[in-house]
Amino acid sequence: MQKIPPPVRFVAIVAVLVIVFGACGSLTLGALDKVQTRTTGNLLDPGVLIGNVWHFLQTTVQILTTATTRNGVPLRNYFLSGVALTIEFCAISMPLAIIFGLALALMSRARNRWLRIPARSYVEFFRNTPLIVQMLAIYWGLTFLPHTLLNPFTAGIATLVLNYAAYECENIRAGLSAIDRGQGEAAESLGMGFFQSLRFVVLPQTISIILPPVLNDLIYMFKDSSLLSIITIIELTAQTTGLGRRFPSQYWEFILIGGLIYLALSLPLARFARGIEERLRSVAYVPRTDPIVAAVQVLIASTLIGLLAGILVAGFGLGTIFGAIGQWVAAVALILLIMLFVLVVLGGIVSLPGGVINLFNRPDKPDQTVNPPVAVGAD
Amino acid sequence: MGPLWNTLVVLFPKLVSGVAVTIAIFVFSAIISMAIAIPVGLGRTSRFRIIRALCTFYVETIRGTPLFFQLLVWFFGIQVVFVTLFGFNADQAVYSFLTSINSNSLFPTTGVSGLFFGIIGLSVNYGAYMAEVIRAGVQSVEHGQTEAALSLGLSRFQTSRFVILPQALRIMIPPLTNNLITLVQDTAIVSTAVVGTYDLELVIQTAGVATSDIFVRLGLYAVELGLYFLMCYPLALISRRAERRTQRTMAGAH
Repeated sequence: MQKIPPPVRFVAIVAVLVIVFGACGSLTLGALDKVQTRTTGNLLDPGVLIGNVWHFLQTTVQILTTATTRNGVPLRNYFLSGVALTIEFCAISMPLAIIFGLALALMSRARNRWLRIPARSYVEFFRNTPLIVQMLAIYWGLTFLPHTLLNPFTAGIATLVLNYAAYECENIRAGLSAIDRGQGEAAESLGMGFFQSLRFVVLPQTISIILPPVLNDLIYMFKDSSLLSIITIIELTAQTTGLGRRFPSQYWEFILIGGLIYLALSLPLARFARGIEERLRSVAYVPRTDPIVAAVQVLIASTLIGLLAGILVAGFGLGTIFGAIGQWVAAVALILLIMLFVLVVLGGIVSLPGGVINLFNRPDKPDQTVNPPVAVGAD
Repeated sequence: MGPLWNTLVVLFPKLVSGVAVTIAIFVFSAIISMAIAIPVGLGRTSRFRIIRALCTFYVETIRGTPLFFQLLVWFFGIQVVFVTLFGFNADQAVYSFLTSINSNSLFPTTGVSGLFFGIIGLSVNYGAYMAEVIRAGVQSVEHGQTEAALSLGLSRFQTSRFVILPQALRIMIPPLTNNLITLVQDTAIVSTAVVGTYDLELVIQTAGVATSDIFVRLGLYAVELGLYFLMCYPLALISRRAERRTQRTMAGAH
């Protein structure tokens, strides 16, 4: 059985989608025509359908190339700004989520229960409540904060970061608990401090375990960022449906283009994640550079790309550059504020009843939860 | 505490019906998505290329686009096609069901419109995710077992029914439960952001935006988050326990 190469597969997906959406669009338009003109044509006539699908393809290409609104703005600019906003939010939120997730993971592995209990309850709370409710609670519930600290941008970033920090904490914790405790102890006996042993001994080994689920979460975040349109951020979903509402007769063309943009970004990302996973799993993999340095570089580059996307959407200029940086600082401040508040309140609620909630009092026992690797054919 | 308590007392019946609507959406879409996922997940391991290609197409397109986007398409696109073509009015059925849960007309008539397609959209989305889980579970069972069962004279259906699925199910339970947790969370998107049904989220949202007292509003959101947590956390505990049990049995098998 030979494998179909990915580009061919993507083209096939596009072709099928064009046919399906073209048929849908044709049916919509035909039905509307039928209602308005009170004629009795057969909408499911194959000739009509094929003609309409061809027309659909033509309009789609036209939208992507030459079509403009009445003011002369090209329609593709709407999609471009939508994609840029989506990328901006993901690229800025993911590094912050990883950093805060690392802090939470270290807290939840601490021996001190005043660090452990708040972190565990934070993670459980944010993983078990809907993202959309968190978003609305931050956006509508904290309106007493000044507008520089709480606006749609900072609220969106804060929601994504706070939610995904909980998931990244779980990923990083799984990576840390896969490393033998003895390694940290050996590093400490060599005279390394806590952070030194983390930086030079433990974390470099965990990167290969952490990276695949983090990339997976990046895809999830990419899709979850569509919810930001609820708090008035006009990203790709909002642009697409907004155009569909403005030009109802081309609704299915816009939907097709929007959906294809999402697919064209997330399918390669998924493939990339799978490739990385396979490469990291192979025995021959030896990192050539310091993985921690590389990770920090990637995180900074991602943030810069996000900021750049935002700046390009707002219009390149000194004001927008400083504005973007200021917004980023405000977002981090908002995240810290909410995180500290939630940690204190939830930690207080969970630890006040004392013995009632024993679920959080269990220390991590990595030796019991992780099976030792068994050689093939050992039994 | 006073104003928040008063608001909650006034809101209580709506809150109860909101929780009922959330659970109703969850149960319906969980059942329908499993009904989609099992054939699709098995179809992805099929011998026939066409079936495999169709199932892969479905799974990859659905998993590649956001749920919110899909729901908007179902609600503003496909529903329009159905209504204009067939005069399709499935909402009446859903509406009468929901009013039978709580018949004191807490549901506004306009709010239920489109819930049918909301549930279908949610199910189609989660069908793809659960199909992936099922495929991974089925493929984790060794291929030699299929061959052994076939050589013992079992038919293909019997092989998957009696040999493959019972073993795969044990591996599938934790990820399936995790999917159910996110399904509970995503019911909020269906009803609030798209359809406008008065589920738990929208009840709190309307009450919260209506008050000018910021602490009442924050308290309402806290209550809502707590209720969602109470719905999801048991599922999380089940998933974790199942995972631990699977690990233990896997370790014992060696």
